[in-house]
Amino acid sequence: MRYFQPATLDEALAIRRGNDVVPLAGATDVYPARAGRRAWGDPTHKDVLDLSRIEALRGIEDRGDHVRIGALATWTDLIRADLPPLFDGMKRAAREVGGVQVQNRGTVVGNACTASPAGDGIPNLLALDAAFEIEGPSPRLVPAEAFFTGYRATACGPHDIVAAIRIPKREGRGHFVKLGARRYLVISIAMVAAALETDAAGRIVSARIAVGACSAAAGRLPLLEAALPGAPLTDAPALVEPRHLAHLTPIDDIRASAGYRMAAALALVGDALADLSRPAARVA
Amino acid sequence: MLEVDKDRARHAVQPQHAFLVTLKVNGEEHRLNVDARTTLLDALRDRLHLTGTKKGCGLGQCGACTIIVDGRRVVSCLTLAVMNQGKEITTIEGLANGALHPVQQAFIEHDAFQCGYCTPGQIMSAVGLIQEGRTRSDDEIRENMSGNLCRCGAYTNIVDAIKDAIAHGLDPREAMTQAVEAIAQDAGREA
Amino acid sequence: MTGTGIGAPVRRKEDQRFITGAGRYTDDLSRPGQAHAYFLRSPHAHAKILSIDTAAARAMPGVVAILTGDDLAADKIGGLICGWMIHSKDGSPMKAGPHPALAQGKVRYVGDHVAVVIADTYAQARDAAEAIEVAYEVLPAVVDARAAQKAGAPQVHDVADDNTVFRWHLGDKASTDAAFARAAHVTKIDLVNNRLVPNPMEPRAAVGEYDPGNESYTLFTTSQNPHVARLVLSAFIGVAPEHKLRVIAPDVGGGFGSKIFIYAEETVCVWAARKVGRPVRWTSDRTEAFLSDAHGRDHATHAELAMDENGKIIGLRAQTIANLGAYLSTFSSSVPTYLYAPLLSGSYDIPAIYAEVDGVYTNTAPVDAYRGAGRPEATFVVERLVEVAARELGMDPAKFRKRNYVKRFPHQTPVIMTYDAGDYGASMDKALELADYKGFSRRKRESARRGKLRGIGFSSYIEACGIAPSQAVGSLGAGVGLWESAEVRVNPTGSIEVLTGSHSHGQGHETTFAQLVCDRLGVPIENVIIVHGDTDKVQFGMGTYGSRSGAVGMSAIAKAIDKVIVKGKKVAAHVLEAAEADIEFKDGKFTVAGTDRGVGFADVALQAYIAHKFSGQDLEPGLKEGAFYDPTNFTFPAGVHICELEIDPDTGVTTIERWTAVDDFGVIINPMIVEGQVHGGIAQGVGQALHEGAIYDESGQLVTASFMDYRMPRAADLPSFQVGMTVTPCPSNPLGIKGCGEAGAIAAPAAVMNAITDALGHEDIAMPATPQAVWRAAQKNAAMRVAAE
Repeated sequence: MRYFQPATLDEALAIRRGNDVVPLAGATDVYPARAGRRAWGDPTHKDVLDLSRIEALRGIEDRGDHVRIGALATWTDLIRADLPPLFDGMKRAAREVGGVQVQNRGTVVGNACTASPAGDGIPNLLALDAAFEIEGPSPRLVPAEAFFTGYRATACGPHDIVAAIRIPKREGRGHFVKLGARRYLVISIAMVAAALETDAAGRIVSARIAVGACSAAAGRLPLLEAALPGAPLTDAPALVEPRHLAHLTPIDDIRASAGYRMAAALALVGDALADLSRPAARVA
Repeated sequence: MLEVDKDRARHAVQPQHAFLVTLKVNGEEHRLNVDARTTLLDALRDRLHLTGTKKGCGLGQCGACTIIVDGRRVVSCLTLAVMNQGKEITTIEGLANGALHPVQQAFIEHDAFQCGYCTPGQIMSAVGLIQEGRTRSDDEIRENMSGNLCRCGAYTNIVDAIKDAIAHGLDPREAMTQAVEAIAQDAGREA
Repeated sequence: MTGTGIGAPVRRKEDQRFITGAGRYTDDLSRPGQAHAYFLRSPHAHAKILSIDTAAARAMPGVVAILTGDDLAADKIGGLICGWMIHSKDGSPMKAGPHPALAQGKVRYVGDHVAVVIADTYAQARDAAEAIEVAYEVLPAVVDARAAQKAGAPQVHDVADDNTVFRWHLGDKASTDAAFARAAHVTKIDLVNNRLVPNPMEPRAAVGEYDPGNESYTLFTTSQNPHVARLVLSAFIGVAPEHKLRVIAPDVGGGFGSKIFIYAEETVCVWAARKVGRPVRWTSDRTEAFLSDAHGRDHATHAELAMDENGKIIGLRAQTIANLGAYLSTFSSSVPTYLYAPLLSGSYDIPAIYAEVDGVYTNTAPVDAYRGAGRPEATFVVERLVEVAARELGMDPAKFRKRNYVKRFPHQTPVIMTYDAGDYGASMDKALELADYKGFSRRKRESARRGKLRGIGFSSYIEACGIAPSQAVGSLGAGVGLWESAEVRVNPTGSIEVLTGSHSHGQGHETTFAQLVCDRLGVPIENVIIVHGDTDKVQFGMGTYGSRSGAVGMSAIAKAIDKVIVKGKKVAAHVLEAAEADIEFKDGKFTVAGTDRGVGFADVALQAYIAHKFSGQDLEPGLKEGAFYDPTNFTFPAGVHICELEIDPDTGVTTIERWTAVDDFGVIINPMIVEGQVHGGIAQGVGQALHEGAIYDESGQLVTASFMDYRMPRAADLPSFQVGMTVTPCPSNPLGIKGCGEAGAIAAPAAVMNAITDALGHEDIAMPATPQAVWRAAQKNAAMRVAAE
């Protein structure tokens, strides 16, 4: 295995252009994903591009109209960051990724780039209308919905590096609920991220809701999002209908049947809305 | 540090298979040549003979290899030795300073383990947890200790031990300071 | 009383090293010149090996040797053994196929050992293993025991038709059938006891060494019973002569049964060490552990319970198919037979019992003893039957149990066991009170208001521990006796070394055994050291399993201590110039009865060694005594566990709200350690009931081979436990100890499943009751309600 450890993004991009390398930030996803095979010793393993020395990729920054999460920002950085209630769901998800030991090293961007259907961070990125700052031959900003292109597939090309995620700052609260066969350190069966804005009368102004682990890539619920505005938040759980999730195509595997994933997702959407309708107990 | 920078400059753009790294473990600097794919855990156990840190799964799923790097608990099996150049690493061997660390003492008092194999990881994780301050309830402690498996099932007593360590004068924020100071003192003595 | 004697919650003497990282487990050892072994394992569940080409691999960097089954055969190394002979109903001996340490011609499960690569580093050995070319002819595989018995199923071993190793039975069929014929009510259930992976946190490891000067071998290994390992490796496998093989099990990081057995890897490490002339070490990675550690349980059972018109149980019958995996592991045949069916009487007075058990080969990892070994399976059958019967009869499950409890002791069951002492009603009453059983219906209504289903479940378990009288187990087919040895060496300064054949892998023997010495000899606990786990130090012993170390191991120590006191009295008589018959020993002091003249224990020890006060011809110098203790009966710990839980019918998530355990372990040496054992047992039992299950797909791949998919409980998955005790001393051993190591794992699964079925209102759910399984069952409820309307 060859190993590169550049100190600048430009160097990293140059390496990426010239070599077949897997970029590595916190290293917590890359390793287990390959460890069923031979992990670091796997002779078929791609060479490694370690981004961890690139200072420019660190940190979570409030940039006025958006929050920028650098490629090296860990889940713990996110949990500790002073962010508005919109990010509460994101923070909740952060606390459900692995154990704290993994949260301390694993990165938000890395989790997104792995693009597992069960990636804990992804539904939130969809619900929050995040955008991906991609550096490479053609630098660009890609909306989350276009970034996740399928099962473990993203819009990040072989010569690209995701430098950061940008999340627009808006009013409202975010929330996240997840179901696994155990409470922590388990592959999710279904998860739901929601971001809701309400008016002074407690009516829903806008709703953005995404479901993960129930299709090849996580996805939003446009029908439900269209049905909620105008309704009192307290009524929201009762407005959720199976047809709002009908476009999802959950898989059958040893962890859960498709039917169960669908039913669980339906229940979780209701739970998420019910949680949000309670007085704003900050969850993170 | 100058040498380190030279090392880094050399392999910044040119790839390497083997690296000369300096690992700062329990206040002591160790220079060693490692294969790029050597995990920090293997470097600690096989190269520095610090076998207190245990390998329970090698996949980041059991927490037995938990150590503290730059003040935060991490699983040492999911990080490469080369990625930890120059960082402050504390292992179970560096926790006690003459007297036991309050968490170690509390683990004895509360019978917080049986076979002892997951114990170094549990203790390092608990030290990290107390410093994080996420210990407001039993549920919160259980949630934040979920990265550490104990097949002997000593969780109830682990929770009690952590609460006891906090109650007996271990200010959360001081937990880490205490550990770091202990190491600094050790290093001072040796110097 | 020193505060460190019997009954005191002494903090553990061994803890200092564990909490400072100074524990020494097998993989922590580094031997000069060591080479590393990597086992190439079968990727197929069932295949013929057509050829193994190691040429390319041999040329890889660092490779020292590559060995296969042919090399084993050439060196006349025998196969692994199963040490318990079971005879079928027809009198024929069990049909055991060959079990070579490295496959010879065929592989029979995914993870089976094909070859070993020995290299300078582990990475080199692993890389070289990748380069070995094995040509397989893949055969159809069978993973389910019932499927394996069907006509046309793939044949795992030629010797076993229908893959059936034995068709065994116990009890009186005629009288049992007669009881069912006159029954007023019969309850019938079908159960699966799910396959589990023990997963001690320390993976198995072995280091083999050969000293050509002495032609002697040393094996460091993760063993619960190093002497048994030495005996099997020498007498049966023939890898080294017994007197030239030293087996050392240093600190062992949990075992739960899985480290009793003698596996291929340690056999190969010892053998290969001589072949390559270097120490050979191997440590399992977690995936290998999942694939190749002996698994536990895996029973399918149909069981029936007969009651008379008064709700009195009059008969029980059970048919069990036990999946034994691809090979017979060291004690595998005893687990679903003599460790299982004799417990089918539970805590109940049942006049007629008949059990039939088929042991079956499949293309899965070998199955052997795992915490409780047979007794959890029996308890699950009995306690599920009793619970369902009570509901069918419309009786309160607690009252139904109390009506049927054994109340007079000794009690002879129809299935071998003689229960010697107990008070099951007292345990039940105490548990009901601690669990606030009276308040349950209020709590259930409160849950219902929140849309949740609340249930309560009992498990009134009994187990047979301290295995066991050697003559008895010999008559049942065991290849070894199950006594224990001890040696108490008193040093001239009065400090004491206790050598024991038991071996701690987390049970705290270094503390509890020292407490006994402290209690009996009045010496400070810090002056006592427990020596175990090394065949060069301890002459022989049977090791630690079956909750036997207290009841059997400590009884041997107590016997040796008694001999030390007898000898000490003789020495003291000379020192005090009194008649031996007049010497009394109490609180660490030998005194002349009726006088104030006395001499301390340490002084007597010194006098024994300097031998100035007596003629060495009349009284031998020294103060060292050994003892072998062979139990006269099993011990019978029993108790009641009550689980109360809540189910979210929308997601199927189950939350345990309260757990009450009232156990009778007889006399307790250290309540703190006992409580820890109870917690751990419950954790594993709850794991079995709610989370854990080893699943093979149809092709024989283990699909739950990581901690993400094989879901052992984590801190957030378990509640705190309320633990209470009742005490009826065990009459059959000198200390009154019954044993506590397995109780929780035996009791818990039935308590959880009884609570879940209580919450759901029907029985159609199997372990593990995952959220999906519970959700499905809850859906069925809804469907039934609709149908009813």
